[in-house]
Amino acid sequence: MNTILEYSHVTKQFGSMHALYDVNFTIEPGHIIGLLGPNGSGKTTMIKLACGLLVPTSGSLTVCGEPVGPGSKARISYLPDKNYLSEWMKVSRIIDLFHDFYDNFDRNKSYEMLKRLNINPEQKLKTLSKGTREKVQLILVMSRNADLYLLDEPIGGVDPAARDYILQTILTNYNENGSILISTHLISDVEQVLDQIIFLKNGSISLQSSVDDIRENHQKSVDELFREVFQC
Amino acid sequence: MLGKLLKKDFSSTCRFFIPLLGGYTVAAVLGKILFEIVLSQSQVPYNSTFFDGITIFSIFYLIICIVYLIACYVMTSVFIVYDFYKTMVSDHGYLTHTLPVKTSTLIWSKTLMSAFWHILVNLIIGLSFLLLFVGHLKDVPVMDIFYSFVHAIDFKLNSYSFYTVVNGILELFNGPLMFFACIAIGQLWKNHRIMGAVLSYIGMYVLIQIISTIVLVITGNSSIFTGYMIYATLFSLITTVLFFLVTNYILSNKLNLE
Repeated sequence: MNTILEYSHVTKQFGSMHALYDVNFTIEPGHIIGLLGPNGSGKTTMIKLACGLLVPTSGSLTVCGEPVGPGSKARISYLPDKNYLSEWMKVSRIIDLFHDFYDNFDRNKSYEMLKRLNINPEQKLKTLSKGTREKVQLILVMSRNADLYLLDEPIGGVDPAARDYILQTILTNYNENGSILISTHLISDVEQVLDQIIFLKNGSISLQSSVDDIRENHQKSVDELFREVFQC
Repeated sequence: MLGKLLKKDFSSTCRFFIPLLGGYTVAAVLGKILFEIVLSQSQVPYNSTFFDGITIFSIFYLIICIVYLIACYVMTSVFIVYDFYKTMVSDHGYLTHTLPVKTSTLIWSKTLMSAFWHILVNLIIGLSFLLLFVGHLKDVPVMDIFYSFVHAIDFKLNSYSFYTVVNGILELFNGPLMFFACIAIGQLWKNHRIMGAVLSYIGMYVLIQIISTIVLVITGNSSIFTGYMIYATLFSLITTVLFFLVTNYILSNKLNLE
């Protein structure tokens, strides 16, 4: 099986502070992995390194065997934890933009999802509520037939009802031959959809395991184990 | 991918430049109408109230037009820099740098778009002056003015027109790329990145002025253009390439979008 994402001795420093330290792990196809850790543990840094938004201080990263670059970016569908779209643009225009740049973008799928959510494609982003804008971003990301979906806090800023919708959207739209890495600290909400987890503590991986192994070996849910490991 | 990027950058810069240049065009047409009214009034029997009123209004209008003209130049550079900052190293950089394109292509797109708008701004401003004199060109000794200018600066058309054209083209790229390089250098700062970019710009500007002055002193004895023109073209070419390489290196190898 081909490795989709590989971190090899990746360290990232901001000044003298280590955001990540000697991180090693791989992601194989067909998994939904939870990247779990408290605030400031390095989750976003880890994702941004894979997207090429940060450059590692040392170590190397590969996506489907190639270094981070235009080729890897074509394979990764990334949902950042902030609004990265121009607010003056209409939703339809943003869809055109994604369709222009990403060969694996399915325009029909995005319009179907918009219709299901009653979002008018002719509306400008600035006229939409914060929650709806986040849904538009998720629709754009999940309309791609990518090898790897990197979702940074996809349910962080929305109400519990919307969380269910977002998780449902992710599960029903991703490329099943690819993998999803979901970063979050809202574990109980995502636990049901994960099959693997990575615990990140102070920039290092403290545990990488399948969810089944955790339940079997620790006799605990992921949420319970997380609270135990990251107890303040 | 460059074509797609140019399309994207064109649509995002259009929403600023179309109102700016559209407004200037309307102002230029109104200026022409006013100019013709003033000219026609100067040929009819003197009507003191009307003539004084329209003259005062014309002077005010002329001042507004000059301010608008300067604003067009200033705002063109300001918006080009703002657009680069916003889409390359700010929140929108999250989209820009996750597009499957090379960093060098991103920089090319921004630079070409900047050159396009600068050419259009110059063209529209040039046409606005032409519009002002349409119908009166026979009264203006255009060729006399041109020859006086050429004589005054000791400009030899055959020898130096090449350097003038090349310099003009290079300046279209050199100016924005210097801004882009400074923004990129500012990204190397851990904090206060905008301040880093501004200080880089000041430092670079001072350095370029010092080098230019030294060379002008060395080469400026025979005439203004002898030697200096060649130096200026070479210097512009070298700095343009350097600015591009610095921007590309930092955004490719040192990018830290926080």
